[in-house]
Amino acid sequence: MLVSFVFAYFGFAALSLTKARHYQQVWPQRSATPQTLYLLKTVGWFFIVIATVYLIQLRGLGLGLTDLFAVFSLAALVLILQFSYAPRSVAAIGLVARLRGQSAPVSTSTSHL
Amino acid sequence: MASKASAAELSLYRWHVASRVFAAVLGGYVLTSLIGIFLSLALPLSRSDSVTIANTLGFAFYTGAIIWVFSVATVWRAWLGLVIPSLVLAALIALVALTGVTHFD
Amino acid sequence: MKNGFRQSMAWLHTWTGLVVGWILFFVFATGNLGRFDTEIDRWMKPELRPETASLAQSVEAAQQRLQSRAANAESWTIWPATNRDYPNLRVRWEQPVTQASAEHSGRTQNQNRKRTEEYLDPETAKPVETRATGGGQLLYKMHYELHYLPRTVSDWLIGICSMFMLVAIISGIITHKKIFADFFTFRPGKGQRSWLDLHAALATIVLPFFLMMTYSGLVFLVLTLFPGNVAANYGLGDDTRTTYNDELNATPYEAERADQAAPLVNLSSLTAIAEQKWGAGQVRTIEVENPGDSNARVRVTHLLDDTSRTNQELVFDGANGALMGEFSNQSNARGFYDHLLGLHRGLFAGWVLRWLYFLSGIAGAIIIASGLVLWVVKRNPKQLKQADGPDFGHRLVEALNVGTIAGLPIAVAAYFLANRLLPLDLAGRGNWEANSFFIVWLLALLYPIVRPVGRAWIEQFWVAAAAFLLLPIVNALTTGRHLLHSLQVHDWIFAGFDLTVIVAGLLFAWIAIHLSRRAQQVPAPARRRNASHLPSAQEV
Repeated sequence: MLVSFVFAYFGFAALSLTKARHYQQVWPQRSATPQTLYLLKTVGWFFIVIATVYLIQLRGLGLGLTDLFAVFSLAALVLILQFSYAPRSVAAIGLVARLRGQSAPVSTSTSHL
Repeated sequence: MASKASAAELSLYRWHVASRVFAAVLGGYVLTSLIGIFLSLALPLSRSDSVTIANTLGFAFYTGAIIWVFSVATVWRAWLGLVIPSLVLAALIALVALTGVTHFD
Repeated sequence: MKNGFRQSMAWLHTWTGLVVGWILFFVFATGNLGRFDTEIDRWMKPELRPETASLAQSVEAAQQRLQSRAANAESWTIWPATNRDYPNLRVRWEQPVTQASAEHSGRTQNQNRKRTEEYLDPETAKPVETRATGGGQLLYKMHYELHYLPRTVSDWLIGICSMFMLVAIISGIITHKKIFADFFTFRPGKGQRSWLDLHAALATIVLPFFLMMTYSGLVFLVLTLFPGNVAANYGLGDDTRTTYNDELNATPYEAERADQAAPLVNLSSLTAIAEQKWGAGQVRTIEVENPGDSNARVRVTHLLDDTSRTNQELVFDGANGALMGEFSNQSNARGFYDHLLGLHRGLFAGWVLRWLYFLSGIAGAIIIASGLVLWVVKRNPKQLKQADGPDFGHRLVEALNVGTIAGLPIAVAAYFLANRLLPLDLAGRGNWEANSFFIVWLLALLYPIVRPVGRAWIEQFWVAAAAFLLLPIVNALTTGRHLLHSLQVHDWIFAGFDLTVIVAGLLFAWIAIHLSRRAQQVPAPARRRNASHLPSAQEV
């Protein structure tokens, strides 16, 4: 479940960053270029699909979907808390993931260095 | 929303609301029952399976009907949209009952 | 037209949500407690001890008991203590009844069968003496039976409320137009805006769960709510429901009683075969049809391992012990139905998933509660400005809100306290525990008559906190199984219960403190005039 949670989290994080409001929360000085948005959307959906396929493969359709919704709910909860109380942390996770070599939401901003 | 309207307009508004509620709750219920009965008779499966499918899907139809009644443009359309399919289904059910052809067997 | 549609959905959402909100809060609260019904049962029957008997010993004890008490029953069921749902050996037998006694009992699902259940001690094959209590099962049953009401009435009431909820959910989705723009926003401390955010954010997070629970909940009641489907195919007689259920659940190798006596084979030998096939600890139930007859059948069922309510089973000839077959009954139609209902009950869930279910249920209760509070908060600016004070309807909603949202937890604590405090030999003890629940709830609902609503909220949350924190103490004083002892002997059920109620008590205390701090911050004369922080009531 942990693996799928990570997938779901990155997926939702990327997708939520395509929304102007959330992007502004994380990077107040900037607005996203169309290329960034496209990348975020693609990466976001990619992770959502991966999470779905992974769980259904692992647990069958019934249990897989059940676990999937549980994982989605948890990922959404974490993101809501982050965006409400510590929006910058969403960028931090993206950076950490990038440093660890995973394909993470790419941002054009360097303000978090 | 209707705070500045005349008393007559307010009264009409309330009648429309009541009518829609009536249509949604009771009319929707009748339509859903008829859909269920028709499905349970017509589906080409064993009768316990057909009844089960009708039972499981019924609430989706009911919810859809209720949402539709409150979103359609006029109250008349809401009622017609429920009554006409109900009559059609009732006729089909009567047909099935008369000819005894059920579950396509 | 889009704006009109969304507005009408918003209107629909508000009114369907309000009308049934309090009953649904009750349904969610009691149903959610039902996630841990077996654990609550164990806490409420402290005479039951964790079991360590082997499967063979349990089955033998069960057979011995059933043979002596129910030799002529129509069927037996044995639940050995193999998984979370059945921590103690339990048996049940069914006997057909005459028409007269069927009319008298009236509460069983199958109108012409009488069921008796017992918990057994596997060492002595005798029933365990426990205090008379409804336990966690009664709490869980309240969420679909309510209480004090005939089954048909409660079916309709809950069915109507659930239908309203389903419509509320769908209209809520349509209304939450910014669902993906505003997906992850929660802005605390902003009055009405914050309540709306909480309501919408939580609802978005648990949306799949909510939809599934409401829809599947309705399907449980479909035979009462839409009887036409069965009637059209099976006629209008008294047994049509039974006939339909029997056909749906038909399993091969069923047989009528042959009225030829034949001693039942030793059941533990059959479960040994099952364990050999499936592995140790995988037996869920043993069902015997026509015990003592030459056409006896024994079905050994497998533990649940997915969301379906049933799993494979081995069928044996009960007279000679021959294995007749192994099968798993799933037509597609029945399979879908089973999975849907299985998801609702969640019996397949392990500990992590069960707690997630529980937390989702809590979220559901908070969603309902925040919606009810939002209704009041949104109308407060206008209502409080009125010369004669708020309308009766407004005050009624306020009173029902505090009496239910803050009062129901007190009632739950009262139910548990009654279990420990009522005398063991009190006649109708189980009923009095339930009565305590409703008496306390009624008092909480009436409390806002004598106290201003703002104070009532704070005071009731303090009472809830005190009641919950009192529970482990009362437990320690009335039984020997206090928290430290439970932790020492690794009795996680007891320890878990005590710890959970402590956490609940602390949570209610925190809420009470938070509310009284907020009340102190706004000076009293201004409070009534500035009840909302928003410039105007915004469209949802």
